[in-house]
Amino acid sequence: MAIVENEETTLELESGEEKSAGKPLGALTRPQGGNGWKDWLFTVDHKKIGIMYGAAGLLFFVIGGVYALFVRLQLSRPGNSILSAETYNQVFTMHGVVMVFLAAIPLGAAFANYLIPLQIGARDVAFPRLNAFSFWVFLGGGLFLLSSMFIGGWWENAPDGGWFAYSPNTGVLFSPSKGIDFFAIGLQITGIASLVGAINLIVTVLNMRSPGMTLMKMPVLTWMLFITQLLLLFAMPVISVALFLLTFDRLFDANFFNVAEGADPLLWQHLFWIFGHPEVYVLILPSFGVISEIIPTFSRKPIFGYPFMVFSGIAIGFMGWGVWAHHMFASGVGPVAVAAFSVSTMFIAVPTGVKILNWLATMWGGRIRFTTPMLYATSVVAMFTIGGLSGVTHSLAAADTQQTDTYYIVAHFHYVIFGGIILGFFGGFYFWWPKIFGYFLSEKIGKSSFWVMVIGFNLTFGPMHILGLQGMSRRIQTYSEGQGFDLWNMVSTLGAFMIAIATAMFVANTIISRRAFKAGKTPAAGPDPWDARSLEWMTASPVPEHNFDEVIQVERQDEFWHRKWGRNEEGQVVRLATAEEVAHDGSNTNVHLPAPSYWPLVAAAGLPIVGYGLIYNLWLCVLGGLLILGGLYGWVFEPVDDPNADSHDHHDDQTEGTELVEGDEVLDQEVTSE
Amino acid sequence: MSDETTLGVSNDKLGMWVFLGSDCLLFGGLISTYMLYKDRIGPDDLGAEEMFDIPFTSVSSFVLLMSSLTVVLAITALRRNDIRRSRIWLLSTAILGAIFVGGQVYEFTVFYREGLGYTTNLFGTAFFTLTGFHGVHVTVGIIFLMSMYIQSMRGKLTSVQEERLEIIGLYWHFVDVVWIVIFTIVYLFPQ
Amino acid sequence: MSTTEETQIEESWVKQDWIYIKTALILGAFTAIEVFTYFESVHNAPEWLMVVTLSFLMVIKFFLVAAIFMHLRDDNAVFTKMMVMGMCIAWPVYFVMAFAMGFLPNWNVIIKVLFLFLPPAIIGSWLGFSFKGGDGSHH
Repeated sequence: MAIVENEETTLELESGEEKSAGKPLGALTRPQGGNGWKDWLFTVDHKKIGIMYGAAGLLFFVIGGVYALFVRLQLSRPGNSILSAETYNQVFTMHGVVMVFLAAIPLGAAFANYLIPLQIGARDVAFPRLNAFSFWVFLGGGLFLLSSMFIGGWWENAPDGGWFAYSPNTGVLFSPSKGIDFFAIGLQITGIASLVGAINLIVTVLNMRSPGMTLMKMPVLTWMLFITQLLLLFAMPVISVALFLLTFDRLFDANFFNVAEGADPLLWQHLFWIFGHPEVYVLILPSFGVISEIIPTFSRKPIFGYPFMVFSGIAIGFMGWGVWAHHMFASGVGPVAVAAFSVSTMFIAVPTGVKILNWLATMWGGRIRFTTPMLYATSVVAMFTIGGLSGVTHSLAAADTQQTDTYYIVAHFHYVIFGGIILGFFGGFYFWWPKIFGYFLSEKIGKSSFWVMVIGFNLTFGPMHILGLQGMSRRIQTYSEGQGFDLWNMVSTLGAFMIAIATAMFVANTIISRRAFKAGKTPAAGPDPWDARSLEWMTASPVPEHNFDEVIQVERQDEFWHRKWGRNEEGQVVRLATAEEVAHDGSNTNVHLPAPSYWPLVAAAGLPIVGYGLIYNLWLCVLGGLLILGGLYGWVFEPVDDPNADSHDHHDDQTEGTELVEGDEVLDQEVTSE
Repeated sequence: MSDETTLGVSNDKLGMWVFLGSDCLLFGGLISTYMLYKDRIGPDDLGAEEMFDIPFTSVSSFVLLMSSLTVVLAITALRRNDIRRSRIWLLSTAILGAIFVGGQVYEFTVFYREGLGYTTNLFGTAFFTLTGFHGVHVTVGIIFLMSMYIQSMRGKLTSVQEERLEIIGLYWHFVDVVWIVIFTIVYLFPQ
Repeated sequence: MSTTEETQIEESWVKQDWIYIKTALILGAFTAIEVFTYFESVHNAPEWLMVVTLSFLMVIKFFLVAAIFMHLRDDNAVFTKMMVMGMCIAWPVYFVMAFAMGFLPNWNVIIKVLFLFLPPAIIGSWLGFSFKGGDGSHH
């Protein structure tokens, strides 16, 4: 990664356009960096893409939350009939799918996109246009999935097989609506987005680091996100295979899950959970990373046992591949498999426990500031521990057989997913909001919404432990009076609405705080509002488009902290410099940046069209396929010698430019010699 | 450009390798599915033993294997800036690939005529899916190669852009390697 | 480009690319051996011997293409590691799945476990888990 400083050719796009020889293929010229919606639509800036991931993820989180509220309303009293049994199946399916694939993964991707390049001191990701492509593909796939609610009638074609979509329940025979088709193709599309994003971010972390930034100097968040991307990289093809098999079964009458032909429905369960369990760590590791940044900052101590944090993350990543069959203890996988997966599941609790202990040890003896992000981070440690411990109870196959398909399971995975992931992400929002937008979120609203959320969360999911052990099974549309489920279900429903209120408070907070800042009532955040440790705080807030003014030579872990603080002769920690002195002010405009591009959006738009085509009319596939092909060709042949640069050569624009000239000359010689 | 990066390798090449690592899991899943399902057929059903024409498939496997050589020759010729020869090798790679895909289409047609359709039984479903996925990979590779050939004809493929062809070559070899595995496991292993 | 240089290229491309041509010849020979096992006289050999021989040839062909055609032999180790990481995950995971679904029911559990974990362990330790991540010295 080279950053061209004080070059004559600068950001000015006009001069660049003059230099580029011809127009790129087709009628479209490159979009100009500008303002307004176009700037967002055609952007390749990892920060804007990160923000869009975050916004889309939050939107889908709210939609998924509305589904959850309907589920809770239906279950609030015995014998309720707000939702019919069919609609109930669809609503809980959509809740699961939307929350896992359209809210939790993209929110993790938001942190990854925004923060990885900043934390390793890079200018952008390795393939900026690919980054835009993966966002638009994700969004297209998400909207495709959601459109199943409307197409062909209100709630006629929504998927109804649960987020796990067990076969043969999802065959045409048992699920004749088009819901499962939407499920399979929609997830296939978002899977492409995750895979492409993973390739991009893995290359970024491996290959785009600032000088001196060895792997073992990277912040824990970057490490956890890196492992997440590796898991996505290897897990996504597995679910792709499973979804292909399912799609072929449904659309082309294949036999993969056709029991009458001798097929084994367990194949789906295996493939799904081989993907599904690494996926669980895909969801949780970003959150682990987020709180590993928040806790040291607000404890004013470095992270305790950094190598242990990293290697426990790697261990979780590896062992995550060896535990999938604990989802299938009741499926009849045989005693050997059950025993083996029991043991491996017990083992995977060890690296997670290491992490918990390290967070506690980081806080131990620190001067803790209980800001909103810190409140969220500490609550993750507590809530995730509860969820983790109930998870260990599943590893005992005998106990698990009792718990399978009861609300105890629902309680467990909501404690880890909501208590571990969503709380961590909210902490991350409060932590990085000043960095991203330049103003603070109100601490007052933040703290009150935190308490509403945590209390509401425990009221919602705590009682489910009891319900489950009392024998209430999950996925049932209703229950009858006198089973003893009434009280706790009502409590749970009330808790769910508290979570909704807390989420609304967060949204309101963003608006109110922004207004207050615009009105000049609150101060600007400055580069380093929290006295933090990693490189993203070493530049202005909001982060300028080029990230850093100059290349940062990294010497230590927590480089930024060490530039601010040092030790005097007595060994006391003293301030060496203020953050403002150390941080870049974003004034360097002589930096080449990748130019925006239409093509990622064009190519991505083709995928949902192919999806609709597969379900309704194959001719649409041709249209979508042409769009994808055209988009990719336009993309590839976007001239490399464009001084506005493109995917990879903006890091070395000048050399590439000269090389190309040489290349042309060589070719000319070749031609003349012939 | 490559010495500007942390590891001293180019982003594009690393990206391709990362993708290939991921594609291992895709084909792994399909091959496992095939292995689990190929024998789950009725006693009178058409299975692997009745269908496969080993001499024919051996020839098309050999063709694909040789296309790996020609693509390497195209790359080394381009590296020496021997544009003419690189074009020849590039085109022959694409043609060899096309012969392979053509052979596959022919094989599928024969199977279908003999009564093994996609939906006939588990063997048919799993076999056509696995080999079909591989065929799609080869077809995509041919599109890549032909695009490079057209670029070369337009004078846009010289030793400077050698790495582009090298990356496409990696993809092509990977597809070949996958066929080495499929050919042995699916066709040659005793049924 | 002068004419003498042109002739040099004419003369030497076979020599320069000889390693690849040689590899292709070896690959072709191995394929011929593989196909040879199909003919009747060899076909009656015990099944396990056939499988072992064919697998052995397959692995050699695989490594030849990867090492020489894909030049992993001379290239940065990170490429090999990415590829091997994928294979080392795929191997045990898919075989565990297959075994759990009744693949090779006659094998002893211990042999199955060795079969699952030995190949990835050998390849993994051969490559070494010490990943030298680079410190930006290339800048």
